Amino acid sequence: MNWNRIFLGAFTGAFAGYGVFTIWPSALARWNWLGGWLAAGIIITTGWWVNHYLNAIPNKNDGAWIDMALPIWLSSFLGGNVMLSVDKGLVRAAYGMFHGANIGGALPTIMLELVGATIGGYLLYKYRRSDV
Amino acid sequence: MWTLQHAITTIFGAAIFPIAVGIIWGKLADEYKTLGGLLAGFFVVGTVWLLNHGIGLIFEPQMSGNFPGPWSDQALTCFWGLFVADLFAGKRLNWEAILTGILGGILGGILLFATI
Repeated sequence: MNWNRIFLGAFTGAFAGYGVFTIWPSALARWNWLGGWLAAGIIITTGWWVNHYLNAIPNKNDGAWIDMALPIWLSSFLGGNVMLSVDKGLVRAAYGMFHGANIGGALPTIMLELVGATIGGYLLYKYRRSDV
Repeated sequence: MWTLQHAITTIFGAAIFPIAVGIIWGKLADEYKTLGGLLAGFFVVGTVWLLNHGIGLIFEPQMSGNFPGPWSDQALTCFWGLFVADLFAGKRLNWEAILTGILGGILGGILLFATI
């Protein structure tokens, strides 16, 4: 365990998570759906450069890939979403587990997301096998 | 309220994201290096987001009412899909990376909680 590396990756992962759930709701509120599309290019790109292209999250060739999506998902799940609104300034767009939000409401979404992602992951594995 | 229709669209939205990222991203990064990530940010994550959350393939009924949350982002599907794809391929658990991801998420959550 290289703790310096773990803390570095935790910082850059938190940067991606915080960036996504402040920039994304704000861009969506300001420019509607096109803002949501632009937000991806603004924050996901920078997050990917630090976390994966320059490898701040310590992924290895023989290890199962941990995407920056994990800290991103967890950030909003725990801390909710913050939005810079057009007329009211900085407002809260969603509450997270830290605010005492009810996990039961999100559980069906989470379970079905895991089901779909497992199917997608399996198909991706099959695709990659036939690709080599 | 959840219906069968919502379950179908949610499962599809959850499946397409890791497939899109897993198929396209590495190719773009190979061909265009740094700029490949920029293209992927817009045309993979941005475009899939439009369908999953902009339009709403992934159903999130907990977001209605005056105490909305917790939000379960499509990011979960990207992480889980790429992770299990590697597990199917026989790769090992990288505890250093797993711990990094979880600590990063907790820190990001604290920051979002602390902002307003």
